[in-house]
Amino acid sequence: MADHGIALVVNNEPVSTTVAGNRLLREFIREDLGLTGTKSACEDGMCGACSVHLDGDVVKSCLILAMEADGRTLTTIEGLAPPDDLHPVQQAMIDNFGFQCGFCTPGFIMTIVDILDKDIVDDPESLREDLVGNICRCTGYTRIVAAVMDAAGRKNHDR
Amino acid sequence: MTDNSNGLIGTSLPNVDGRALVTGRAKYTVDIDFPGMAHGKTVRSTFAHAVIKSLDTSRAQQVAGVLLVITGEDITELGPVANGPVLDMLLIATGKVRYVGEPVAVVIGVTEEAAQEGADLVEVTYEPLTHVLDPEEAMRNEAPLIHEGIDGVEGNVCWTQQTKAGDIDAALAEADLVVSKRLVTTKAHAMPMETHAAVARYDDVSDTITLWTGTQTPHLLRNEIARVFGYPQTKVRVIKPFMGGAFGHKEGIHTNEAMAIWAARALRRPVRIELSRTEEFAATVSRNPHIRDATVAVRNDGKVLGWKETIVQDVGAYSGISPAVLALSEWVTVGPYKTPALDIEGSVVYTNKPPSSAFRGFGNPQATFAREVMFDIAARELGIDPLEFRYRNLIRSEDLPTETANGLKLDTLPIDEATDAVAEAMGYEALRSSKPPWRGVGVANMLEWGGGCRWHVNYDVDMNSVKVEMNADGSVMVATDAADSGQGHATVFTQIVSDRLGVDPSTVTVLPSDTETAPFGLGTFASRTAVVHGSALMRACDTLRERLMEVAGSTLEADPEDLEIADGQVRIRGTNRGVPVTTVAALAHYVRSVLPAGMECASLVASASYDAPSTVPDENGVGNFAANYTTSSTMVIVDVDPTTGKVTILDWASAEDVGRAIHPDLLKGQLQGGVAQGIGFALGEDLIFDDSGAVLNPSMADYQVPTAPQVPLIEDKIMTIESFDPTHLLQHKGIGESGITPAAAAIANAVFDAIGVPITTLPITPEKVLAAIESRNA
Amino acid sequence: MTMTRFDYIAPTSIDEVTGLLSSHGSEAKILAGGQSVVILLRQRLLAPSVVISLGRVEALKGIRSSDDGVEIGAMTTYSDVSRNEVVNRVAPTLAKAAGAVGSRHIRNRGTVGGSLAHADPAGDVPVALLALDASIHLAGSGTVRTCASDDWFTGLFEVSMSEDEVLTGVTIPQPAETVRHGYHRFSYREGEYPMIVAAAVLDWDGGVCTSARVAMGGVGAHPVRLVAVEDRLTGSAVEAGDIDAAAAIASELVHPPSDVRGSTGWKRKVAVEYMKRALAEAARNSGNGHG
Repeated sequence: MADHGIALVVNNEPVSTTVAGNRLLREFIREDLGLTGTKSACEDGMCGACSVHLDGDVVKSCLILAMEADGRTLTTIEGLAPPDDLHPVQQAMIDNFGFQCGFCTPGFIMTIVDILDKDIVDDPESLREDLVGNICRCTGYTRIVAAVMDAAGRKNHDR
Repeated sequence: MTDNSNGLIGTSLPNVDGRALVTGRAKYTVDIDFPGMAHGKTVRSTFAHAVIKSLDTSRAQQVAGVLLVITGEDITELGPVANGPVLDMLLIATGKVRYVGEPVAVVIGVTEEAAQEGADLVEVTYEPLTHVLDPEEAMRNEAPLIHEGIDGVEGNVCWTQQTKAGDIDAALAEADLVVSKRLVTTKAHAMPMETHAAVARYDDVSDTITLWTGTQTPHLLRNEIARVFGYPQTKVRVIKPFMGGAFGHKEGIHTNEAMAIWAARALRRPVRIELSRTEEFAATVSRNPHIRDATVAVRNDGKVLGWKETIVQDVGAYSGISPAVLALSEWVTVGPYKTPALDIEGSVVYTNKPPSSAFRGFGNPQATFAREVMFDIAARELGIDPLEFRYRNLIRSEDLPTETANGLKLDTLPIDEATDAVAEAMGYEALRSSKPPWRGVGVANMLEWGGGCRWHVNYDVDMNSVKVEMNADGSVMVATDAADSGQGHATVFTQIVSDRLGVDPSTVTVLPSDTETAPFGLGTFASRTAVVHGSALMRACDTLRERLMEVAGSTLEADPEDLEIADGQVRIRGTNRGVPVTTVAALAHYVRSVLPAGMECASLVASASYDAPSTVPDENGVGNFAANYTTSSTMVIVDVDPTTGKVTILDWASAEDVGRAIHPDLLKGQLQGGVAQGIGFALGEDLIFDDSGAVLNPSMADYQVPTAPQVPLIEDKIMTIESFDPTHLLQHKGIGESGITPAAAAIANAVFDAIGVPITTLPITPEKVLAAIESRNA
Repeated sequence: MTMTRFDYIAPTSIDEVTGLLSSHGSEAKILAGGQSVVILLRQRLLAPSVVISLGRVEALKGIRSSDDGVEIGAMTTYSDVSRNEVVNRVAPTLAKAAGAVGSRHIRNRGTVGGSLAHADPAGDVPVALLALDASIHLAGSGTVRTCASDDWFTGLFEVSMSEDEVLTGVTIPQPAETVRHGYHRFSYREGEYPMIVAAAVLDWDGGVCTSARVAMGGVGAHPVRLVAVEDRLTGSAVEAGDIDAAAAIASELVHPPSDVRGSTGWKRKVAVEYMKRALAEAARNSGNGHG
């Protein structure tokens, strides 16, 4: 079976290449595009380590075929902020020690950015419910929640 | 040492790896890619116990893109590997298989897809043998033998350990109440986010092996690779890239590492073998489940007189480091309580399940669960409040220093202070007097090695080494085999270096853990890195500091004794006269004439080792196996849904003796993370097997790792107590395992309080809780 | 595990889809949001030679009100459904169900049509649609038909759709203003698939329940209506005694499978409890004098 042509915008750069029909978006990102910040940690869509933004919505790239991204806009952790700069959520994660091993961290950050872009975050307790799509084995989540609240506070302050 | 040159120790320096981690630019083993890199997939046993009748690789070999198929017969020269005292495991099963998931072949392909396709076509025929999954059944005479012909292994019992001190018979005779219960813990999986992965490269010109792998023990792994492959240790290099979690799961040598090396040598190309999450759950190590038949002898006033226990530890098919898990479990069994007599006999037993091994807390969560649940049962039988029962038995500050019946030497152990702290934080008194129905409060205390331990079988050391070098511009490099998997070692080491040598933290670089640059050490486990590596680093820094003082003294024409480091300067104490450290560094490198007599140029480099002052216990298990001990008290509030049995954790408090907090935020992170793993251990984490020995829940969807809503937000009520223990050079204690250890016990006791029925087995599933409620109502 | 190789086709119209289905037959698999299908592909439980993505068929997306009720295109995501003002007003059970699925990632991709075609025994949205008496629209090669949700689920992951048909959408009948909804789900751990789903849609007149639809998931091979429970409730005020009587009936009707989360016996108790909660919710503010 021949590979398919695919053209999309990845982290603000147009990309045009070919990909097999059965290629997962996650493998396309990690192996074909070499963007290894997007991680793989499960096989059933539970862990969220592979979270990316597709047309501005957070999705799990392990549950999407690469070809589904044809013609779309893809943002990975590498494209969240310009080089040498940090997205406010990234900065908040550093400031709040919201990570330990860091393996789940890019996925969490992509999810948190989506939450803060779309929802009003004012209650740390209920925020936990909105983080169910990402698993962290190191931190116990408290410091991740603290980072989100911190970033949300800064965002409100900037408004 | 208690001085603090720049005030950095005790503050939370931003994580020096933070930028790499939050931008996704940190490279883990799974991110390493080389041109021409091949990939491996493992063919695994589908039987729990069977003779391999035939193994046909011909179809696999024909798959386009398959480069090599490795079977056990191909690698007989490697022999069994030594991950522990009993050499019972081959890297690939040969002759017979002993658990579902055991490697029987490894297929290397140009892509993962090709390797997988080849692996699917390896044809293995098995002659099934009777298998045994229950460790007590495995101990019976008629049980099928899982291993034969291994020295010291009798039947399926591969190891025994006893811990005996005091007069247990007298204790039982004197007791007013003797409570006996069976307590059972689970085969929880550490589930680090990054699965086992290894990349090997072979250089045929120099005949050297380089292995990138997520390992906690780079040097021990290097040495074992060198031994089994017949190489000098200099020809094997192990590099630990960023590591996505470990928790005890990544100690010793693993098949994927050894086979990546084998294939890289055979194919003369780089090879990566990465395990899938399914493989990780179904075929890698997990916690040693314990069946503990415990008896506690108590006086009417609540005084514990003695503890008697037999432990059956289900080690699965291969023993690895698990004999040590049993030993350490026994040695902390009586916890931070005055217990004059103890008599514990444990057996490590083979079954046809995936091997058990180290997992955060080693054997202590099992021991703590048994003791603390027993204490609540005894307390309630005597009509004594559970917290009061503990107060009556605690080793108190006024008792210190002391030595426990089984030989633990305690200089500091603020468990009375810790217990007070959690009781106050949670409002224990008020809770006792009024709480809604189906709400419960539980307490659990624990005692744990304060970083490092000594166990007699493999080696009589509890050490690590570091090398520190100051460059001519004053920047500093640290080489160590500390195998960070999220603890923040580089940040803590940067603080120590910056503090001792007066350099800006931004100029300190902690090199990646690499056996080619780092001096020998045992690696990272047993909560030891901050204390053992940290103390070695202190020593190395102090050597460098002395040299800096000598050079500065010579420059300033002052006695080095009169100098101090402050604000980036070496200064004459009590004056403003000084010279920047950076200048001293340049002088030391380039200007012979200012150096004191006997000092060579560029000698601002020092290596130091630190062997923690622990000792090997005797044949009765009595001895001071760790250099010092930490302690904590935990209190939990739960709600139980009486219609479903589901347990919700409402609030959590713990107070932990940390010796001295080097980095408060990283320290707290270790405790918070450990608590979350403890909540998982308590409420659901367990590998579940069907009758054939296959794991039924090898996925995150079915393995009950906690998601965010299950873990309460725990910040202010994680309290730290600084006991400034004199043992280690920074007066600190290792606390990496402290969060998980008491968690299941505290939750079980809270559920007991809520429903009025003790919970003596893990995990505390809703079904189990509902059945307990119904048993009470019946 | 790696997926078997297949061709990927992304048609832009329903006619193209049905044309492809008739030419590829059982070799083809339709990909909607893919949140279940991609897992099945990766586990090689599905090994099609052609995957037909519906992602570019714009006609399958969107929510429209009509005289018949609310029409929801098959490719409308859970996110869009749960946030839609009309759905929240007319069919709060569906809004709640769609908002409860998985995580925001899954809700951003997973679709109403996909969930119905996949027919997970404990799927939130299928259970809600069954309780809501939704009609399911299908297109075949030159044909269209509508299937009642009562007739849709035929077995474990089996529905009354032939391999040359594509699910195009659902219609939820316009409810009377007197209708009240209840929806409760038990998941063993937050974020994972629900173990038990219970949805109740009750109509009321003067404090008496005039019609009831009660659907459950996780209690058998596919989402089911508990008709005997509905009969018991209809004509009653759905007071505590009525709910207990309904629970006794339900416990005879539900057969949750035993698995790693628990036994059939325990799960049955949870199922009955969650049905009671759904009923109690649908009886609240109903005018029965108890809310």
